[in-house]
Amino acid sequence: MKEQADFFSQSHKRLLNFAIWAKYLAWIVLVINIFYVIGTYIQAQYYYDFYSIQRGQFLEFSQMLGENLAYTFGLLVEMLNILFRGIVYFLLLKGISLGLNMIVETDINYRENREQGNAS
Amino acid sequence: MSDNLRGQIYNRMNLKETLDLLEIWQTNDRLEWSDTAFQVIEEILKERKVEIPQQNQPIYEHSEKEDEIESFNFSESELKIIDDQNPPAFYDPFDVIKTSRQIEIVAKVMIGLVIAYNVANFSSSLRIVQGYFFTNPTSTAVYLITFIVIALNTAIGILTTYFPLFAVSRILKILIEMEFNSRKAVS
Repeated sequence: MKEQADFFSQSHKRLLNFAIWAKYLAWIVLVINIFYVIGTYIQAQYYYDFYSIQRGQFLEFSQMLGENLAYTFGLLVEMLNILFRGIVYFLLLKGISLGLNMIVETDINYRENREQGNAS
Repeated sequence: MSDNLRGQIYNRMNLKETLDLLEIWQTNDRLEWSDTAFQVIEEILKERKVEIPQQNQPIYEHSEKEDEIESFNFSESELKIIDDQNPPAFYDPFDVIKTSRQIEIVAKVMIGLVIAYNVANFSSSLRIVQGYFFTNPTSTAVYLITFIVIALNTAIGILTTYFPLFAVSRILKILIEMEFNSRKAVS
């Protein structure tokens, strides 16, 4: 049993822990960025409503988006930029997690192979 | 030899979190995990003094996953890695290849997005350049410099997003090949 317990070194366990953290962090980052996208839209709507009341304009935010295409394009690009930044971080963290797992798996495969070679 | 294999499975499973083991146990995917793997999982859960839940109906075919695999049009070498009879314990090869593909797609999308972002921010870039040429802010040179600044910013944006993402995608592919080759050495 001790032999089995010693099979994995502290480095393996540390790498696997990092992999687990990276996997969960990826989802957290993605969810935060989705909320950030929604927040950006709400903020734009809030500022528009605030200033339109001050200026005495009574055009709905959705109507304004339909008329002011340059602004709509800018807002859409900004929201997409935040969303894709989240997706990029998500995929990078997921990639790091998978990469660490693959490194551990590869090392264990070679260790097992070496032990089998020594045993035979 | 069979004890040796059981020992290997034990070592790998023993490193997994209890929650992961419970998930494998309950999912009861007989196509992905062998009978020995389930025996080992039960043994580990008992050792960890965890209440062993009832298993779901055993899964003997993966129609949904197979459909997903078909939809990705994997190459022959990729399919060889996915369908290998000696699957890895710590990750899903399908997940790695899928993630690698997704990273490549996102890298391409990011090129379009970087261009769109810089085009959408043309007016703010123009204002910055005009700040340096306050004596004649509407001259042709101002627009020309703004265009050059935006082009440079776009190029740097593409370089700093596309290439790192592309590199990560390639690193994942190299790592899975390395792991696959080491796996073959074990079998």
